[in-house]
Amino acid sequence: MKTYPIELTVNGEKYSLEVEGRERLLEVVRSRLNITGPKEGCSTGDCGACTMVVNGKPVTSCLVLAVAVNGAEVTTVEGIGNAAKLDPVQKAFVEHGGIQCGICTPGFVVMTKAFLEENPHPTEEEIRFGLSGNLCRCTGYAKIVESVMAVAASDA
Amino acid sequence: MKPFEYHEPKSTAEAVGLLSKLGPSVKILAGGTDLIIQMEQRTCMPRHVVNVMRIPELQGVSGRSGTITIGAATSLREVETSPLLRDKAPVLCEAVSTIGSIQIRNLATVGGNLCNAAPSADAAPPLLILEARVRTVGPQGERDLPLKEFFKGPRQTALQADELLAAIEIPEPPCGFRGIYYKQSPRYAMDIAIVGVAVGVLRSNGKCDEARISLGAVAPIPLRVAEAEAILNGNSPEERLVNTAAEISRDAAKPISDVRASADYRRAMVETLVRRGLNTLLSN
Ligand SMILES: Cc1cc2nc3c(=O)[nH]c(=O)nc-3n(C[C@H](O)[C@H](O)[C@H](O)COP(=O)(O)OP(=O)(O)OC[C@H]3O[C@@H](n4cnc5c(N)ncnc54)[C@H](O)[C@@H]3O)c2cc1C
Ligand code: FES
Ligand code: FES
Repeated sequence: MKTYPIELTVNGEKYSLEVEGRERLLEVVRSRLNITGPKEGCSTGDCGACTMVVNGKPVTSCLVLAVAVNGAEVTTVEGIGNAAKLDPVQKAFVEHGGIQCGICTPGFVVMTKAFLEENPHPTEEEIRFGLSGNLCRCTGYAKIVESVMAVAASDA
Repeated sequence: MKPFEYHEPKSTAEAVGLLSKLGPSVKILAGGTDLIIQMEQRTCMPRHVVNVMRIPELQGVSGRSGTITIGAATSLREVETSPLLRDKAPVLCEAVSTIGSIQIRNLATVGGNLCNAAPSADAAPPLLILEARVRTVGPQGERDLPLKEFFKGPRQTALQADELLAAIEIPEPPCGFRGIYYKQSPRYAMDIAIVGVAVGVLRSNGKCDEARISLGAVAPIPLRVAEAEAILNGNSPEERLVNTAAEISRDAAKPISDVRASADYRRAMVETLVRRGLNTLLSN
């Protein structure tokens, strides 16, 4: 099958690779680059577990062809913080119980980070609207909203 | 997903050239939020995919001499947050903000929403009451047609196989024009409309100079309801006329029953939402 050369900068690191037209950004980042923070929940844009920031904008990477974002700057949860050095958003999720099983968390953290950059002091309603593309089956959302409120408040 | 050949034209002329050359098994890719899912589910299996997202002419919102132009490949998020549209056509921003999530609206384009031609497309009713026109480009050159002639059926538009949608053009609404969009869906967020109603009115001296009513998700294509509008045009807004306009709108709806809602429920909601919209816009 025909392949196409692409370059991606993921979490600050440059990668050159050959992809088929049909390969989606999510599978390329997970399976080829072994960056497995982003999760595949639904593959239909509904759950937000695959959220990455691509050229400054949070998107559902399961609906993006890798070849179509040749040259892009990509950020996953790994680019935000790690166990040794948690980002304030990650810390707030841990402290306020915004994380339980954790499968939705990489998507929530990436989305929360992007959302707060645009709107650093949101109301609860704005948080619920901004994060409505991320599903969580464990927390019931209240603690996620609390976590996001806590980050926003600490940064006041 | 089936394999395909990928193309990335840099201009509309190049894109149209590719569409004519590659023939019937070619699909235009914009944000991909409809197409990637259809390809993944194999309800659509093109041999060639032409990505139009790197064509500068198709991007952005601009205003000139009374016309607002939205490039077909402009993201819904850009439409939602455009200062020009928020000022001149807030009903469109409001309606678009109900589509999917921020992540989806960063990918999805306004052209894709119209070209996918789902009866429930949320950009359609507000654009219909804004009297939008669409500009298409093909090997024979450009065509310009009213949006209401663009929709031909579910998933069917007036585009020829070798044409693409280039832009949506909105005549700047006169001052005094106000619009409202109601989306009825089982879930508040991340759900498609079971009824979409856009209502617009132009008022002066307590009279309704012009009313515009458009319905989504209740017929094979999004509709304008001219007969209901005519009841109100040029008249003082009385309760009786508002109620009649709402009833005519209800009768113009030809909804289906499905897992999301029954046809009767959809009809009843059309009447309720048209009445609510008119009352809201015509009071004070
Ligand atoms: C989770 C989720 C939630 C959603 N919620 C909603 C919702 O609430 N309301 C709603 O209305 N929609 C919703 N959608 C549908 C979708 O996001 C929109 O229809 C979107 O606007 C499509 O635009 P796109 O750029 O992604 O189109 P694509 O998927 O790239 O293309 C869609 C179709 O249009 C054609 N096309 C695209 N651009 C052009 C062009 N310039 N010229 C000619 N043909 C073209 C393509 O060939 C394809 O057939 C949702 C989708 C998802 C995944
Ligand atoms: S996997 Fe992408 S939104 Fe669910
Ligand atoms: S923590 Fe389990 S799905 Fe959100």
